[in-house]
Amino acid sequence: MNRYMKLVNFEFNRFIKLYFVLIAFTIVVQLSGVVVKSKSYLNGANEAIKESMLTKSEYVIQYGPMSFIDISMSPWIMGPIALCAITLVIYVFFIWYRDWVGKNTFSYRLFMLPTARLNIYLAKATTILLFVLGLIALQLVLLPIENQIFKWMVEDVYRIDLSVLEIANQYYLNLLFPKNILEFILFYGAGMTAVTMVFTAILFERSYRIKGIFYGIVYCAVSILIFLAPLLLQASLLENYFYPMELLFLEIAACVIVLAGAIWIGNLLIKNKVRV
Amino acid sequence: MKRYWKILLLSIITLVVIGSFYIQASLAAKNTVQLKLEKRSGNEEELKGLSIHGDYGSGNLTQSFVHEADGETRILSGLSLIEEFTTSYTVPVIDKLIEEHRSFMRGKDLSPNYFFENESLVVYAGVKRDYKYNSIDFSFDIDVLDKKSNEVKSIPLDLSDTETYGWYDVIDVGVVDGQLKLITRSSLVIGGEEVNVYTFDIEKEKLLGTEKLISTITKDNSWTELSIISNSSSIEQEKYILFTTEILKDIEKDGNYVQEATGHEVQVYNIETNQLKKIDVRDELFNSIYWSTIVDSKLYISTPMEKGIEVIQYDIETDKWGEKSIIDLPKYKNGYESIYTTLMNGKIYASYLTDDGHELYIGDLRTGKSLYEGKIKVSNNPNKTEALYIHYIE
Repeated sequence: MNRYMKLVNFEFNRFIKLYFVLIAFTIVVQLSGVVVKSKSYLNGANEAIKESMLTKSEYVIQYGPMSFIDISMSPWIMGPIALCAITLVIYVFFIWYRDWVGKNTFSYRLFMLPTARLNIYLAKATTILLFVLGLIALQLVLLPIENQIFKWMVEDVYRIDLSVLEIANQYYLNLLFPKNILEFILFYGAGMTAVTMVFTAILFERSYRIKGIFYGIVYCAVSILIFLAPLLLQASLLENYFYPMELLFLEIAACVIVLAGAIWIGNLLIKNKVRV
Repeated sequence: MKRYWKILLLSIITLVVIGSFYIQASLAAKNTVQLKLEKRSGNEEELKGLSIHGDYGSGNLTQSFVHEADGETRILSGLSLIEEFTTSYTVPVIDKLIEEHRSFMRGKDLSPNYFFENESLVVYAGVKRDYKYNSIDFSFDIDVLDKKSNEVKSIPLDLSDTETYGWYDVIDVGVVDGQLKLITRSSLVIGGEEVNVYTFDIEKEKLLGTEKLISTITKDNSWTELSIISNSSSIEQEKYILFTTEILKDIEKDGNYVQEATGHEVQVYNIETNQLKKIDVRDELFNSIYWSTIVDSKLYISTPMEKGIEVIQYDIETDKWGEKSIIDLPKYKNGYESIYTTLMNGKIYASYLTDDGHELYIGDLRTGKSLYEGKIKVSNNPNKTEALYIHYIE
């Protein structure tokens, strides 16, 4: 356990600088986005009011009011989220490959540690999970702040007020924030299953190199097939045989099978087959 | 411990932030818009099993809801994934069938049109559609469950004539003297529609015969619209089914094409005696026939008026129009979607708009008496502006 904690801490510190850069970038871009978007709406409104002699409420009737959705759907908010997501997806690969590149092969030292090698695998997975959840939390902290700035900048007449919950339930953002805690666990559980699947595929490649790429692809295909099996059966052979609730439980079971399979195969590979 | 401070700090912040977000979310979920019925007169028993479907708009958000008149209001839009799985999209009678015959109901199309239930049998008759490269193969999927022995009989029948028919659907299932009757609606490839009756012997699991009830044709610029009026949420035996056909024509008016009705016909089919009879309906009453119901061989048609609803009777057995009765709704405010009426189970249900909100009226068709009157109230409304539309009662 202690070894595992040390490994997590080690992996965590290896990425922390870039992680802080991501956080800082997100904060700066999103906050300036709120300011820029609000300003540009106000400028448009002021100009139109001057030119066509409208009152504020007439402008709202003609051109529509502004809500936080206009900001949250814009690249100012979505851009940093997408960048963070892409960075983490790339890091899912890089967290392994960085051990093999460089002058002295670090993986050699890592695998020589007096601990079960599975701990290395689990520590890397835990690190990814922590980074993902950390960014989700960051967004949840930023949304109320941004909403408040928007309220300060734009007058009542021009505004439709939404609560943070309503904003988080709008499209795109609702992909990050499922509606309740149970679903949050299911969504991110499925996400972590996908991460472990990719980890195991990487280990296939690291164990058998060129041939391993092929094994990895076959392994992923089988995993995805197992995951989708209940849905595929329902749609084809069984003709809606299962009731919805049964289907949900079958899906959860399929996901657990894929996750257990990934960790088990990953463990075998990292213990016996991996090459440094 | 000291060297883990960064990771611990991040974990704790993450946990607290995400945790408090979801605590807030679960509190807000309980605080959604709720409808309440406030009785003014009549019997609250009338509300049992009633559900009111509609849209509720507040601010710039419109949400669809279902309100169980003796229970809660459920918001249908923006359900979470698990709620999607647990929300039933079918009518209560079908839910009851699923509860009682869980394995029989597996893999079936859950529209109440396809089901029939009496004290000894549950019948399912759906249409299987096998999609081929450029055609669809249709076949009946008929299962009869004997409630006592729990035995299931299946009667397969291919509807192979894909050259002529483009679509098949079952509109009603009935059982008369051990014979299963399926009333189907099908569209023809060359245009037009047909209504057919298929009769099966349940004991011998055999098709006895088919009979064409109605067929319509489509010409270049005119076509016939066929409507079938029966209680679509019932799975009990219905004696009569009402068919209306209306001939429509494209007519050029000031350079624009407009539809014009050039003729119509109303027919009633008696499942028990296999008879199809014409009903003479005055032109101005024809459109009201969609708000009609049949109770004990009497057809009741309702038409909204300035300050109420008019109900007219027609006796199917004696072919005679009966007396008119008028339901007074003095507070009714005419306007867009301001009234919704439906006739079912021998009663008339009307929800209508008044100057201070919506009201619900339930009346007995046979006696013309009011059974329940009440106000529909909205609570937990977060915004000032609101709009309530009621478009379905079952």
